[in-house]
Amino acid sequence: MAVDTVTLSAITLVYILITLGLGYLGWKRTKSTEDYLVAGRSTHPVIIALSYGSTFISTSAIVGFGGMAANLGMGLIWLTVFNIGIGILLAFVIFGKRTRAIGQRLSAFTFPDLMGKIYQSHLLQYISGFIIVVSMPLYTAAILIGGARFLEPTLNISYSTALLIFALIVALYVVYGGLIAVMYTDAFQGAIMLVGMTVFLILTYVYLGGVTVANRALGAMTDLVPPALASQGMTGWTSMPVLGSPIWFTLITTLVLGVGIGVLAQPQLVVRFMTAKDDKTLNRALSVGGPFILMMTGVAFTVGALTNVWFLQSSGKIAVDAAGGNVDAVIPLYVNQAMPPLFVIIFMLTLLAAAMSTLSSLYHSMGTALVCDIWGRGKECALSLRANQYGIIVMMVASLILAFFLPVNIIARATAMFMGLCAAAFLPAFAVGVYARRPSTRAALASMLAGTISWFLWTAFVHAAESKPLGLCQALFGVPALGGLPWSVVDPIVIGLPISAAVMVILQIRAIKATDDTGGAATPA
Amino acid sequence: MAVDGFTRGVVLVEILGISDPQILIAYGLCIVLTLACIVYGLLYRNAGND
Repeated sequence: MAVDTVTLSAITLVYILITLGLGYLGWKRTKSTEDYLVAGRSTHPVIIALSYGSTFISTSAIVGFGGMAANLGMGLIWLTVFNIGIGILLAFVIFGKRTRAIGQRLSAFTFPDLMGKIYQSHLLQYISGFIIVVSMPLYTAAILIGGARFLEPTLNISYSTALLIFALIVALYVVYGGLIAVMYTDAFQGAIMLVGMTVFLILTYVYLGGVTVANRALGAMTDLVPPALASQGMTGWTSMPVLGSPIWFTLITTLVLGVGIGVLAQPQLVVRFMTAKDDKTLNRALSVGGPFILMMTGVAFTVGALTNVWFLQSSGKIAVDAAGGNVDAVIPLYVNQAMPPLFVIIFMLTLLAAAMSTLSSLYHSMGTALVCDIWGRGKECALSLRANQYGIIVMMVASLILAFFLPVNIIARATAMFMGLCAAAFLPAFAVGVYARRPSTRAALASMLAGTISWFLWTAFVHAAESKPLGLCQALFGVPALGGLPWSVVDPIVIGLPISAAVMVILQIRAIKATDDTGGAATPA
Repeated sequence: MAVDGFTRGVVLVEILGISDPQILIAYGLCIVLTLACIVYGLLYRNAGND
């Protein structure tokens, strides 16, 4: 449907002005490096919840994974189960409180800084920072692409212009306002996302004749499953794929486990816990965080699958075919064609909000990792605000350049790759670090390296979805991927995380035994 | 009672229009976990003062 450009421009302008106004407020309230890096450790619970949620949920979740649901069906709702159960409940209750307390006690400012101080190792801080600086631009670029893909047809501007506008506006308030600005704008953007996704769900079911009619219509489309997907185990859009089939492995290991578990050790989310004043702040935040995530991913995956019904009724095609085979284009196309003009604007703001809230946090995490944890490692993290600002600008430019070169259909996969790497590299060392009384530095270093290396080797040489486009396996061994089914569809997180965890546990136990044998006189490492 | 429970289950499936139990369980878990977050947050809203 055509969108009135004057209305669109006016609403978008108001949105951007409010966002920049909140960024200005953040800048005014930033008096110290502690304010800039961890928002002064006194953030309101609702702001923490909305900031955590809106950082967690990006355009990847809505556009990329919504498109995946259009392709693979409602089985993706298992990811919502993991998002709420692990990404919110477990993260806040099990990890959040310990992270907050330790971060406050050790005066940690960033995730690598926290790890370095827990394990009393500058090398560990450096490696954590290095992994962030190298891998996070991939995720950042995917989010930039997701937002720009929607802006491009909606505002009728070129893709390159959309990317540039996106990147620069976010950078403006992150660079000046630091984490206070990031969290204030996140909360505002989270509220917009909540409204947008709620209306999105209601309108979709209204248009398709109600919950029962719409779901039954989708269930009745089983014979329209493309032969290529049916031969790989897809049974329909309202049912799970055949157990153990290639699509089942992709759905469960890459999308559900990769993203569902990977969220626990994401540096930009862990920092949110360190912005809370006390445990009750985190408890209160939980009441808002759970429903927020339900209304984000739950709606995106449900509506994503249901777009097949709408496209079938309107054009006689299933959603992915209507979008020209591009999974990432399904949700934007559905919104532009099916929804009323006013909602197109609201949804555009929702996507803008989702992208900007995640982007701002990633810029902040990457920039501070570059400055605090790599350039300034071993020194006091508080080098200067100006240094951190330069760090954020450098990483923003690197992500922008990457976004221009990444292929189409990359949004969901890049998100899963980043989260999988985070889990394999950081999760065991982070979990032991916040809970063990005598965490072993050697075990943490070995775990991080084992997780990262095994994840990379599996990605580059076995998991066909990445090894094919990377081409490294083809160049060295003459085949796109080593090992046949099911290994070529098993996500790297399923290999990297257990290896990383096993190394951590074995070396941690050995370190404790060695310390006990020497009567507790030895150093924890 | 068992029949009533079964009947209620069938009615729920009819209303949702989804017959795969794995999908229904996933939606059910989403609701239960969301409620768990809300209840935990409310019950412990004043717990954990430093």
